[in-house]
Amino acid sequence: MTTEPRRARRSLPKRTVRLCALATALAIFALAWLTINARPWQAEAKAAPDPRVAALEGRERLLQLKATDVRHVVYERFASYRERLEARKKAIAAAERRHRRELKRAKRAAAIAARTPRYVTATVPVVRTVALAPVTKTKSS
Amino acid sequence: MRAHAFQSMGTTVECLVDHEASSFDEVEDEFRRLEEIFTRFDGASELSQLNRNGSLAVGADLLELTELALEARERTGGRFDPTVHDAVVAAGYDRTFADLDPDAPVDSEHGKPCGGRVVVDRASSRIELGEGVRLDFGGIAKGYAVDRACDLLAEQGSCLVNAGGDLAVRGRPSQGVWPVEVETPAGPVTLGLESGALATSGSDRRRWLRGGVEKHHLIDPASGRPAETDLLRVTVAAGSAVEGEVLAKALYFAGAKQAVTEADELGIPCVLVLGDGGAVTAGGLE
Repeated sequence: MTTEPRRARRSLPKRTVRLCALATALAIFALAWLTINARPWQAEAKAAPDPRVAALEGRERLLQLKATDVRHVVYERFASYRERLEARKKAIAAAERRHRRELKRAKRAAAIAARTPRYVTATVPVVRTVALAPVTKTKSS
Repeated sequence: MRAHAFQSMGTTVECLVDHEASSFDEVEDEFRRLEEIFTRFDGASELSQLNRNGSLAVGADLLELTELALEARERTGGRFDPTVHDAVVAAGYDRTFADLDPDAPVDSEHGKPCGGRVVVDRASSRIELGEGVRLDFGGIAKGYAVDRACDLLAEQGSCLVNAGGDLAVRGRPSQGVWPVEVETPAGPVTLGLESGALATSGSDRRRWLRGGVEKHHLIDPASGRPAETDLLRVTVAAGSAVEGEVLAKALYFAGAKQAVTEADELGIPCVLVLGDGGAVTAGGLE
């Protein structure tokens, strides 16, 4: 008679222990589930962005703006340079043409001066047709 | 640019200067002084005295102009000749152009001979004319005056002097050249003159009637009569106004074809206006 209750007393804690273990396991599982489901690592990232990244991003935006400005300035300067280059090329071409004309005239004048008797004097005028408003006119005298 | 105009030598003289300081009195005085020497319409002029006497000790200007004219006669083979006086008078141009009488009778249908003897003795400043030879300088005297006036004005800066078509420049204006209009049948052409002179000779002006026949003042020394050529007008660029006047007449009397050939060959920039209404440039004029 005395051994049976003892067995009962011994078996009851064992069951209780199992129940307790199961309950504990469930509790741990639930806690883990809640913890994982809450994604604490994301919240931490949102709450505190890296200041170095933010600074780099700001600097990148600033550099992009500056690069746009520089590209604009370079484009304008290049356009202006091209205009001046074209004008300079035209001026050089005109000077070369004038030089060739003057050389031709000088040669002609030298050839004329070498003749005897001379028809014209060695002094050669410098004249060409122009597209300017006349200041006076020549007519039969 | 400042402009000033006055009457002298039977035409309007126009002075242009590219500066502020110029006084034109000296230029006017010089033109009037030279007109008094070279005119054939005033019996008291030095030229008239020479033509009357056949020999005269003359001043430096008449001496120099006669030498220039004789040198031009030599150079142009007689196409330019200062001994055309009697031929011009025979054609009816015996008084100032404004006083010409269209109803006066014809002196002679035949030309008066030109090319007579003229001797210049620089040592004694004396000019001697052959028998029956008389001088008329016409345009070359105007050219001479233009060159002298330009020299006077040039002391103060760049300038242009234009005496009825004979013009010369000294120095360049601010725009680089002196733009001068030349009339052609196709419209005006503008020549930009950097240095030298322009002169125009033609039969389109100074025309008159004599015995019902139209005459003009350009006497061809070869015939002693008003020239008959297929050219109406010649504008020439030259080193000086005197030179321009000589070359313009030489090319005018040559006729269009010969004038183009000579202008190209000798490098005389010119605009030739033809009697039939055409125009051509020659002598390297671009």
